[in-house]
This record gives sequence, structure tokens and C-alpha cells, in this order.
Amino acid sequence: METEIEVKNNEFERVLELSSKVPVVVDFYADWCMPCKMLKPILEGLAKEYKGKFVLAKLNVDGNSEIASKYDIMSVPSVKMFKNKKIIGEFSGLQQESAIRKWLDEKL
Amino acid sequence: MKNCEMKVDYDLIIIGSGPAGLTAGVYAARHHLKTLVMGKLVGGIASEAHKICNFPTYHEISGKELIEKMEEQVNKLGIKIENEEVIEIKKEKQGFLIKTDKKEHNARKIILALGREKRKINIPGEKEFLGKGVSYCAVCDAPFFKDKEVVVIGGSNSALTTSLLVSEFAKKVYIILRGDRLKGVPAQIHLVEKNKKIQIIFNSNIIEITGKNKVEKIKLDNGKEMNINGVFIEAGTIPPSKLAEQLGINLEDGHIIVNKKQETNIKGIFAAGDITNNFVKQVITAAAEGAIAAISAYEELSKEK
Repeated sequence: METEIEVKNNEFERVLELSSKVPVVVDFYADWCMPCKMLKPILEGLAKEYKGKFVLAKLNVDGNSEIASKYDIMSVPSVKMFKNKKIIGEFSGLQQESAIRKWLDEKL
Repeated sequence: MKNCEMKVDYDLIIIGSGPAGLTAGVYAARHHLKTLVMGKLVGGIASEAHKICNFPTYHEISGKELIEKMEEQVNKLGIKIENEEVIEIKKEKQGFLIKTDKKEHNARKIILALGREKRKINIPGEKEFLGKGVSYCAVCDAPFFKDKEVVVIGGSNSALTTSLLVSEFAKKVYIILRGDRLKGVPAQIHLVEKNKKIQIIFNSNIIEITGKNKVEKIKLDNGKEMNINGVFIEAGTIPPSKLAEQLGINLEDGHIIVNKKQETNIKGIFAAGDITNNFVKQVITAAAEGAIAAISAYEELSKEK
């Protein structure tokens, strides 16, 4: 099973459908944001390490503005966990790996 | 450099990956020191600068782009930059043991290039609405406030730069500051004063941020309330001095006291960049201090051979 996907052209239905099977952690990021660049490899590493316990969905707000607006994104990076099409957890800003690990363990 | 008595992982560990730490990395590599750079955010505060207009070779460059060029140079020289948070540093016989949130390393010399952190204003709503209208990074978040009304807290140069950037998107920007005058460089003050979208509210403090699911309103200490969509906080910076305090390093107002060689009062530990007690806090001076610190560490190691 794939551990990460990239959301393109506001095609978010796929993420919501997937969240009915496995929690999906959506990383709302932008290319202009340095904290986003730092967070990305941390989330990618954790997605591999958790081996399918969640799927990482990377969403560039620049090419997915409708979705970013729908979910009221006002800051990047913003991370939201979806389960059964609903948000069950979120955080914003760059966090240390240990803090994200703790957040994942609490939510999964 | 080789140590025959016991295995030491690195000649030099640089803690901090801003302009000071990255430049120290470049110089350390060119002096053939086995070096590791570690930091939480590559570039530190400089990576979030909208425009840097005073770094030689670039008339104007974004903080992110400048830092990426520095990072690339360090990487090309074979120095690793690890995203690790240092928890504790202990003095050992031949150097230092560095415990991070991931592992332990030891090194013969250390450069502390810890930079500075943005100051929180500690008012109700600040923490609750972080990412929901409250922001400390205008470069990251300004585009989300298109046609909105926002406030910028602070009167320093960074507050002015933030106001100018946000005004490119927002329909109205209020600068709220405690004092009765702006403190930025004249060029920035001039740009702010002639910008029709920006209004300055002097002698005022924000005391609360409220809203349902996101920022909707702020309260000022004069009793006034304002309907607002975003709050950008630029209330100055503080030096993260905890590690230095643990080590017994001499400080001046939280900044590490260094001499001309960037040496601290503890042999083997150097400091560079915004964390030091040097007068100027700029990308160019931080880089220079990083270079001096790396060369000083090399000289000290050479004498111990």
C-alpha cells in the first residue's frame, strides 16, 4: 500500500474516500515557505516508518486553492488528520519530529 | 584531524543552521574539520525574511532563496545538516557530549549559533488562534489574507517589513505599537508612511484576540475593539539562552559574551551570530562571526594535535 500521495487540481475526494479506510494526514504546504520545506522530510520519514498506519497526502496550496479555502487554511504548514472524511486532529507550524510522533500516537 | 586516545565523532559540531551556523560550516569544511551542523529551521529567522536588500552580491533576494544558496554550498562541501534539537551538552575529557532528541554525538569543539526566537506577547487568544489568523511568519501566511483586514503588532523594522508585505494582499493593515514613533530604518518608515493601505495606531497595546473558530476581533487597552481577520506578531526577538545557561557560559542580557575570536568563557565552545553580545544583528555580520568562530576552532584544534 502506498504511504504517500500528492493532491493535485483540487481533487480532494480521493483523500476523503481513502480516509474511510485509513487515516490520512494532509500536509498543506507552499513552495514559498521555509518551515514547510523543513517539515516535509519529517512527515515523509514518519509515513514510511508507520508502514501504512496512515497515508501522507501532500497538498500544495498554490495548485489547490479551492481546497485550502474550503478548509480555512490561513497558515502554512498546516497539518490535518482525516478519518472517515472528518478532521480528527490538526497542528500548524514546524514541529519537532518527537512532537509529531507523539501527536500521531495519540490520534492513530 | 585524528584523535588517537578515544573515538570522537566530530572535530566540530555547529548548533544552529542560520547564516552564522551555515557559514561556519563552509569554513570548517574548507579547513578539513569533520563537522556536523544541526538545527531546527535552516536559515532561522533569516529564512522567513521577505526581502534582504543589504547582502553583498544581491540587490534584492528573498530570505528563503539566500538561505537555500548557503545550504547548497554547505551540502556541496560534504557537510551534513541534521534536523535535531539539542537537549543537553555535557563537558567530557576530550570535548563534549551532545544529547539531541534523536541521538548522542560527541565533538571536540562546539560553535553555538543559536540565533534568536520571535517574542510572544502572551495575551489570551494568541496561542489558541495560532494558524487560525495569528501568525509569526508573514512570508508564509500573508497570501492567505487577500482582501482582509489585519493588524501587525510592533513598531520595529520587522513590523514595518511585515506591514508592507501584508499590504500587497490585504485591503487594510493596522500597525499597533506601544510607543509614539516607528523604530525602523528611514527607508522602511518612508515606504510605510506613504502606503495608503497602512494605518498606524500609536500608544496602544493589544490585550485579547477573540473569535469562534478563527480570529474575528481584537481588544485594545484603551477599551476599543476592532473587527480583524489576522494578527501578525512582530514584537521583537529573544535569544534562546537555555543551553548556554546549562553550560555556565557568561551572558549579557541573555546573549553569549564573546571575544574577538568568538570564544566564550568555556574553552572549546565558541558562539556566533545573533546569540552573541555583539552590537549588530544582520545576516552579513552573523555570517562573518560564523567564519571567525570556525577558524578559531580550527586554530585551537591545531594546537592540541
